[in-house]
Amino acid sequence: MHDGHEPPTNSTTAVAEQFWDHHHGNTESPRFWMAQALCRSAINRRVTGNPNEWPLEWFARLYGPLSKGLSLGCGVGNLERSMLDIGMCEEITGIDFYSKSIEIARERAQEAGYGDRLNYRVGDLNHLRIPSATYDVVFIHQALHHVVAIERLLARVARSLKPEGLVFVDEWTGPSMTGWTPEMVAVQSALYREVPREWRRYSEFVLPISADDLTEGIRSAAFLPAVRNFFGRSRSVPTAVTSRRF
Amino acid sequence: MSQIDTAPSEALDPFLKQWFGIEDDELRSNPSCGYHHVIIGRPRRGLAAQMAALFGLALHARMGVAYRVAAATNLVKHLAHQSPVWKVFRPPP
Repeated sequence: MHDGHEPPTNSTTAVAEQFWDHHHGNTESPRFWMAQALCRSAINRRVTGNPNEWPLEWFARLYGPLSKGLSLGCGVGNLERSMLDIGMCEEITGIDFYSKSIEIARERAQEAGYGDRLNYRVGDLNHLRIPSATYDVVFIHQALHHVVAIERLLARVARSLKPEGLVFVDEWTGPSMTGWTPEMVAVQSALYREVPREWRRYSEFVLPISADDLTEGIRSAAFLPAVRNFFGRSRSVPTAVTSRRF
Repeated sequence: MSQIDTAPSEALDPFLKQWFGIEDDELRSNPSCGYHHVIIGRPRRGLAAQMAALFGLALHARMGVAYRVAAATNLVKHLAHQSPVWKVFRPPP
């Protein structure tokens, strides 16, 4: 197993690392769409059938408790601490590309009293080295849409799981950054114009692509076929949609 | 959400309820139209796993070129965003 720091592989990922080292708190903002109460309820309801039960709690209720977990794209470690809080895993290894996030995750694990059960390291998911047949569960939460080498990563994830191991993925599966067709943009723009002008941050719809994070949605459209390829026995639940009507 | 986060919460809630109603209808009529998914899976084993690995390798090789072109294109866009010229065209916040 390679436990060392794996440096950025090209200028695109270097730019992304710089971005996330400065914006690691984005997903903790109450303005983050998944943190908005009604959005959260809708996602919970679609996945679990209960607006108050989060997908990971539902997953833990159905399949837990398990022993060893791996969390890919762990960010500042919220998921891992939650999984230990509810008794889903005995220990979890978290891996993220962004060194500042890993530093914060380690600090928060210590503060929560999980210093000996949560291990963190920096690693590039495009070139990840993980041991075979080791984990009972692998979590990938809103990280895979930043990965280019999706097939290579999923092959390694599949190999890293024990025979009855599970993968839990919560992910953007919409168009890749270069996959937005003029028709798709036209639909989104029409929807955005339905929103009262004074509510709009921008005068016109802006694609969910950040010039400051060049990995955002880099191959997101390739993700579902790849998951079906490597994880034959899978259950997939859509949690949000961009309407094609209007 | 990040593009309508200036909406007052008392007005945003009815708007979102209406929105999710539309989404629910859409998902009922076309379950494959979702842009976000939660997936629980168990890996293929044995011969199926080997076939999956081969297929994945082929996909990866095919997509390798495509993503490099995409990455290069976006790197150029990123550099353009850094230039003072771009600021003229940036949408107002």
